[in-house]
Formats: sequence, structure tokens, C-alpha cells
Amino acid sequence: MPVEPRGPEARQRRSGSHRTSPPLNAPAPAGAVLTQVPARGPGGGYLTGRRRPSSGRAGGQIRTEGQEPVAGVKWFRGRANSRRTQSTRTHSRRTHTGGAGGGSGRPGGRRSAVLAVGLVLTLALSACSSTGGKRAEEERARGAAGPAAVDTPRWKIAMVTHSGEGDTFWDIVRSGAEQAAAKDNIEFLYSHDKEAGKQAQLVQAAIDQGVDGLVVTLAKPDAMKAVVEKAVRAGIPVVTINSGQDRSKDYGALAHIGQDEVTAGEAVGEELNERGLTKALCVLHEQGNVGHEERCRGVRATFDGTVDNLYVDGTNMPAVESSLEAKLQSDEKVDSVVTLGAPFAATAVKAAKQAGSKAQVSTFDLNAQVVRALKDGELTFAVDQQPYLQGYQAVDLLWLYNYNATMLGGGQPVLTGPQVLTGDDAEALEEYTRRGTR
Amino acid sequence: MTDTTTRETAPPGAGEPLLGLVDVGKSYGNVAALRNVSLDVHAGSVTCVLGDNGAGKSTLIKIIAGLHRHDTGRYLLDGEETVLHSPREALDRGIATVYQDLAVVPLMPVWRNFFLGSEPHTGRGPLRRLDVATMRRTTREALARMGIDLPDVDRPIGTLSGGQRQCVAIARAVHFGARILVLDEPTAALGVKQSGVVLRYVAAARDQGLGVVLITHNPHHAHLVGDRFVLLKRGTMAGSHRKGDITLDALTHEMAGGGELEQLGHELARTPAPTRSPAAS
Amino acid sequence: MSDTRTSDSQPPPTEGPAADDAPTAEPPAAGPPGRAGELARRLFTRPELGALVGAVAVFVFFALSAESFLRPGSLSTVLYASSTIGIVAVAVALLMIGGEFDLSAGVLVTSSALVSSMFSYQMTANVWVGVGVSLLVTLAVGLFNGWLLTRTGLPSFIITLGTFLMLTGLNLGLTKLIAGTVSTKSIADMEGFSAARAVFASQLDLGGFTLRVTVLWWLALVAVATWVLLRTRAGNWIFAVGGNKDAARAVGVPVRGTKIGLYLGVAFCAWVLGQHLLFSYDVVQSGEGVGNELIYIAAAVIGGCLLTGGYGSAAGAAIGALIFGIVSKGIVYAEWDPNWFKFFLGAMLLLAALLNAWIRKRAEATR
Repeated sequence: MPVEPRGPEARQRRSGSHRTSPPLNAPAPAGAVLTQVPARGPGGGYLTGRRRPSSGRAGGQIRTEGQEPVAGVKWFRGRANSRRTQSTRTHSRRTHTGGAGGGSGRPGGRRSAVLAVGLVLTLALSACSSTGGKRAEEERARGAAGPAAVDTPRWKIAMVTHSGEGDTFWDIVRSGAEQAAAKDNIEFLYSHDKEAGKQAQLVQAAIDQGVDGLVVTLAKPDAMKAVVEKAVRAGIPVVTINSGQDRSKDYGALAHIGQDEVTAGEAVGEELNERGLTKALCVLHEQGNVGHEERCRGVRATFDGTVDNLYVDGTNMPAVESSLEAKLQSDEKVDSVVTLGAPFAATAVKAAKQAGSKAQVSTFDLNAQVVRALKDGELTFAVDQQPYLQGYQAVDLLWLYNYNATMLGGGQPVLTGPQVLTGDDAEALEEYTRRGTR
Repeated sequence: MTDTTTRETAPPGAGEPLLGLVDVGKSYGNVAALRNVSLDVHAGSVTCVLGDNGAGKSTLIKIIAGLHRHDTGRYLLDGEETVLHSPREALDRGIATVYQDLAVVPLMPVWRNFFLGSEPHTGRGPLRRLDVATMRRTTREALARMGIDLPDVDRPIGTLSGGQRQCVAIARAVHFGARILVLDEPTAALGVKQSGVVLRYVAAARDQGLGVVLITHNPHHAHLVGDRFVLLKRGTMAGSHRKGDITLDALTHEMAGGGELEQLGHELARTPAPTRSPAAS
Repeated sequence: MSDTRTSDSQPPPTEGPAADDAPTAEPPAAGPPGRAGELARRLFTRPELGALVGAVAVFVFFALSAESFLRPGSLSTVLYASSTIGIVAVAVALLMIGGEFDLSAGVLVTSSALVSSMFSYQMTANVWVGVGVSLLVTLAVGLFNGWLLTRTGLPSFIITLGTFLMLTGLNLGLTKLIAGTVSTKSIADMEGFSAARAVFASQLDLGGFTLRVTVLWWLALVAVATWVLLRTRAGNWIFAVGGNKDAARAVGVPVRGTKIGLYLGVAFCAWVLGQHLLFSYDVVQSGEGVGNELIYIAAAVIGGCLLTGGYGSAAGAAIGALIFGIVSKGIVYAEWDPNWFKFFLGAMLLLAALLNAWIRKRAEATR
């Protein structure tokens, strides 16, 4: 793990060099590769028969430590880059704002669009918020776009996950993968579908595209078996992430990076024991999700008290809140609520307040709101499986494998969690959650 | 029934026609639905448009009602050439159309149907609202004036009989000051008795001085109330007659297809009748 | 017509006199028009009667099977859950009476919240600016739906299915593009937030009962919708365009305007709920809202709206939403195996609809 978030040293290091910290999501501009990659080594040649690279072909100067650059030169470059990224982003934002009014209701809404523009011009100038908002973010943001640090050919790596649409967790996984791809000069393809059958089709599509590496999740392993084995037979190196730890090796994957859901659940159960709680509520926001069931099962395995499962409709936040309220009102013995996704933690806190319940709220996964709530003491702890790492490491390992035929873990699963975070960690995490990398 | 047949009050063809169509034509794409049709509608008289299915009756009615615009010819309202852009405009000019199947909204009460599109208001500002009491009362009165006795104007109009529905629609047109009443097949789906009721109201409307256009494929009904008869056949005019000029038999004959019918008769006659034993059980 | 709905300053109409002259599908009861008979007939011909019976039934059922159900706190939770469905369901019911569907209503709520949040955030503007821009954008989507419908004559099912998918994609794509993540950034620390929260997401504690402001919005919208339906021209037109579009057009009803107005109404209600989401949770998840459109339609149907249009009531849709609230939370209060939740909800829905149909039939039989 390149980043160890706990411990004062790490924190200090980060705060000292945060100008050059990895970019949010923006991949490096293509030009950056040419202009900013340092001098190549004498070998110069790159791996072209890349599936099974033989030894002795290493060429070029490679920085694998791209995440934590220390050299002054790089630092300077980071700053220069940051300016460019900033302006591109501002531009794209502006383009969009016009599109939001016109795009959705363009044909009939001309008058509305004109009105909207008028409102923007008049009100935005006169009615600016002096607190919060984009300006505040920009004042904070100093992210730099990391250029490719290697001069290997532009390999193509596909990632196919079982993510639903608009899932915060997977967004972070993707950010990590994109960051590694930018650094490793990799063309990164991302696709997802929460239905196993469709996910398998997406994997097949990646095979058809002739990718140089495949990152795949095995949420429903049996459905993915055939297609993953097909990829392996086609000579595509496969790394599994997040789920499917026990099956990964059987299917021929080179490594598994992730966190066992049951293990994470067990960690939560132990934390709850430490706090002397007796009755926990496990809030599942998607019915029929295997990972969710496993997390709750893990909690139940180690927790000394009783655990109730509560299913809520994750696509409907008010319904989540009212269901939780109803449960807390009807069962006053519940002294702990565990949500399985970061977005639901704040809702659980709210519901507990509404229901007049004293239940402590904790959650799986992180986001900016969770960190703020940890800081404010509204959440007792959060269990993170470091999704950024799952994406980043998977892509980076595949690059390493193509480049050097090395593989981490030697076929054993590489765990990215569970990491238990409390209010003490919150401050250090704030910046990273805000930019969407934790 | 007998009442209307004996009536011969309207002076046909007297004075300027309210509505005149001169050589009107209409095409949908390449298909000519109507060609060179002319007719006059006079106040206090009934102009019947007769024709088989597909003869162009509905196209004609849509042109008169302002739903469609004619492509060729002239549309004269009070002798003045006019182009109508919408049914609303036609209504404003005094042309009310009662369609056979879409005259009313079946699930709405009679009084709401009666005032649909011309609802009276009361109150002002945010309190501006429908004048429900007036609407109910006026509906009852207007129907009574036309001789329709309806105990409950709150009934959904769909629960009335077909004849009653047509009558409400006619009463509505009369109430809202229509000068020209266009009736699309008002008797098509009705039994003999119901048809008589409707025809009586047609005559009542005529007697109140309206110019009536009656579209039908039933020459018997047409001959009972009509003053002029325009025959349509495959989009063109097959004849135009005054009441005095044509007998019911002649009208029926022409309407039924004339020579074509005789031809058909011959064909059918040649077919030997199937021998069938009288099943006396 | 949209003006009557967008301005909620109108005094709520009295339900009593307004209730007896709604278009009714049933013929009057036969027999002597006695006063009691007359009342019974009026009652039986109300579109929402079936829903009312169903609501009372599920209420009594859960009151008996869950001891915590009748506590004031629980009832306020149920009312809150109902209101978040009912706010949009009311407008959807009006639209269905007008003979059309809107499958985009569920995600439009999320779009509205996203626009509001992201506009305020990205422009660093007072949140009220975002709220205003969001209203315009949301209404523009409604206008687009209505305009396309009246312009092309395609079935509303297809058109709004299209906008539903487009909005789902736009929500995710634009949020990711602008905010960098799939949820928006918190705007809780921005100017105007507390005032906006007071309007859209505040609550009032009355002893153990917590009255949420969404409940007030819900009741106000139902009142306005009922007033519009029964006491204005627009209401007459809504029934007419849904009941017989051609007849309505023939007598001069502006069919296109009415339908567009109805879509604007849905958009307005989606906006209200969207702002509630935003100011209640500070941040908005871009993937939310999918599937809710069917719940709105279901609530309207349970409330007595005909799928084919021309019949129904705003109050019925409100009761339909209440049934949803009671059942979805009642199952939690009764502490039943949650695996059966969806099954039970579906069964309740069918039961309510059947009851509705049965009562309508009975009323017809009394002719």
C-alpha cells in the first residue's frame, strides 16, 4: 500500500506535498506524455509482445512512485499542470451549464433558457454565496494532473464491475484505476452492469476488443466463470477485485485485490462489541445483493448482541429515512445502526434523531459526508475497504505484469481493508474524500 | 315522426345563404378525398349531404367545421370568402358541429359537457371559479326549451341513450348561438324511435332559424327533414336537388348506387339459391 | 392552467361542496331520491371511495398487528413517507385524468435536486438562485415532454420513457462531469441554505407528533389540484381531454395547452420534492429516483384514476399515497420478515385495485 493514512508522519507528509497529490479524475493530457517524460534509458525499446514478457526487456525510466513525488522538479511540474487542469475544468463546467438549461428542454424552452441566463447573469452576480460552493473548493483544490511516468506502449486495460448506476463507491474505484492508468500510459476502459448476465457480456466485449489486461469483479462468481476463463484462455491477464476472493484463483485470475465482505463485517462486529452495544440494525439498501448479505453476516458472526436486518429502497432516500425511523420507533432496544453504504449514513443519523433513538450509527465505506459526520461525532466509526486502492492497484499490477511479469500476492488475495476509521482520523481524510479519492 | 313529415315551413333557397361551398376540394397527399363539391346552407332550412361510406362526407364535415382547410374552391361565410383555422374559430363564427361518435365526453356530467369549452366564471382573482349553479340551471333550462326532459343533469352523459346524447349536443349548439348546425350522422347508430326523437330536434333547431347541415347515408331520414340534397360519391358530387325536385324513391335509388345496384341485382339473381329443406321441427 | 397550480397562495377549497360535482362514471342510484339515498349515491360514485376503504383497512390492520404503529411519532413517520410519494402523485393523477402518462417523474425529482445543488455550488451562488434555476430547468423538461407529445402525437408512454432514460443518463453523466463524483457536494454551508431548508425540509414538533413541511406541501398541492379539477375551466378541460380528446377539441378546448400544462404541473411537483431531497440531505445521489415513477402511477390508480383517462381525483391519489406510506412502514412496525416486503406491497396494491373495481361495479349495479 503506497499510502498509509494513519499515523502522524503520513499526515504531515501529505499536507506538506498536497500540491502535487494525484489528480482528481482528469487523466493527463496526451501531450504531457511526450513533453514531460524524462530521458529514456539506453535500452529504449518497449515491450510489444506483451502478454508474456521475458526478462531483460526493461527499458525507459520508470517511476512507480508517481503518487508521492518528492523531487523539486516534479513539484514544479505539478503546479504548472494544475493551472492547466484548472482552466480546462472551468471551461467544461461553463459549457455544461448552458447545456443543462437548453439540453433537456431545448426545443420548447427557449424562453426558459433566456430567463435562466438572465437569472444567472443578474442573480449570480448579486446573490453570490460568500460561504461554501465551488469557489471555496477551488481555494482548496490544488490537485495536479499526473502525467504518464513511463514510456511503455499504450496498453489497453478494461475494468468491468457489477456497480449500479451512480454508485459512490465504484466511482472511487474508477478514480483510482484512472489515476494508475494515467501514470502507466494505459488506455483505460470502464464499464459496469449490476446484472451478472450483462456484466458477463461486457467482459466478452472487452475480450473482443483485444484488451491487454482485464480487471473484473466477481459479485456473482458462477455467472462470470465462463467468460473469465475465456479471457484467461485468450491470453489476457486477469485481476479480480472487490468480490470473489475464494473463486478468483480457480478461474485463472492472477491476483485478487479487495476486501472480503465477511471480514469487513466481522471487523464491524468487533468494534460494536468494544463499545458495549447489544442490539444492532444492519441496513441493507439493495435487496438481493450478495455483498450486502455477507457484510451483515460478518457483523452477526462476531457481534455478541443480536443483529436485525432492515431492507430499504436505496434509490429513494426519503423512504430510507422513514423506514429507518419506523424501525427505530418500533424497536427501542436497537442501540446501533450499521449502514452498508456511505450515502445512507447521514440519513441514518437523521432518522435516529427523528425517532428520538439513542442508537449509535456506523457505516461501511467513506464519503465526504461520512467524514464530516465522523468529525462531528455523529458517526461512531466507519469501515473502509479503500476502494481507490482496488482500482489503482489492479491497473498498476496489470501494467507491472505486462512489463515485468511480476504479480503481487503470489496468487493469494491482497486485502485492501478493513480499515476502521474514527473521528480521530477524520481531519486527515477530509481532503481526500472531498475530491473523491477516498 | 308524422309531425316532422307534414311540416313544410322553411322557404328553401330564400335570401343569401349563410354558408356556401363553391367547387371545394381537398387532398391528403396524393389522394383526392374531395373534388368540386358545392353546397348552400340557408337559415331555417336543412341541407342534407348523402353518401356511402368513403364518399367524402367526413372530409366535407371537417372542412365546414374548421378542422381541415380546403385546398381548392371557395368557402363562403355570409357571402364572404373565409378561411377557418380551427374548430374554435368556426365556433366563434357560429358554426357548431355535432359529431356522431365524439359529440360528448361520456364520463363527464351532462352540465359539464353542456358548457365544455365555454364555461362561465364567477368571482375574481384567485377566487375566480366556475359558476356551477348557473351552469346546472342553464343546462336544465336549455334542454327544457328544446323539449328535452332530463331529471338529473349530474348524470354522466355516457349513461344517456344515444339519441339523448345527440339531443344534448344539439341543444348546446342552439344555446351557444350557433347559426349553422352541422350534424354528422346523428341517426346512424340509433333505432327507429330514437332516430325520430333526434330528427324532431333537428326540425326544432331549424325552426329556431338555424341553418342545418345533416350528413347521413339514410335517404329516408334525409327526405323527412331535408330541403336540399347533395349527393356525394367517391369524393365528387353526384347530384344536387331541391326537395320538390326529387322523390324519396328517386333519392333512395340514387343513394343506393343507381345502376350499380341493378347490376348487383343481376349478379345475385344468377346465383342459384341453396336448396334447403324446411326444417320443420 | 399551470398558473393555478404554480401559485400555492390560493386558499384551499372546501372539500364538502366541491366533492359532489366531480365527473362520475356511475349512473345515479335508482329508487326514490331520498336524502340518505342521495348521499349514498354521491358517496358511491366518488372515484376515491375504494381507496378510502382500502386505506382504512390497512390502517386498522397495522394498528392491530403492530403495537408501535399508533404512537404519534410513528404516525408522523407514516405521514412523512406518504407525503414524499403524494406530492408528485397528485400531479401524476391529474395527468392521468388528462389521459397521459409520465414515466420521467421519478428521475425528474432527482434531476431537479441535482440542478439546484450543482448550480448553487458551481456558481458559488446563494442557494435560492439554484432553486430558481432548478425550477426553470425542471419546468423546461415538463414543457419538452408536453410539447413533444402534442407535436408528434406519439404515445406519452414512449415519449416519457425516452425522457426517463435520457434524464437518468444526464443525471449520472453531468453530475460526474461537473461535480467529479456521482453525488453532489454538500451545500449546507452556503448562504440561503437554512431559509431554503425551512421552506422545503423543516419540521414542527407538536408533542410527540412531528409535522414535516412536506406534509403541508402535500396537503396544499392536493387542495389546489382539487380546486383546479372541480372549480376551474382548466379542470373541466382536463377531464375532457382525458375522456374524449376529439370531442374536447371539437368544442374548442385547447387540448395541446391543457396537456402541456399538465406536464408542467408534474414538473412543478417534481421540483418541490427535488428541493426537499436536496435541503433534507445536503447532497444528492445522482442515481436516485429510478422506479419511483411507477409508485406515483400506482398511487394514482389505487386512488381511483382510470388508466385510460377521464376519471379520477386528486384526493384519491393522496389516499393512494397514504396507502403506500402505511403499508411500507407498517411492515417495518410489524417487524415482519423483510424478504416478503415487496410481495406484500404488490398484494396490497392488487387488493386495493380490486376493491376499487368492485365498488365501481356495485355502484353501477345500483342503477
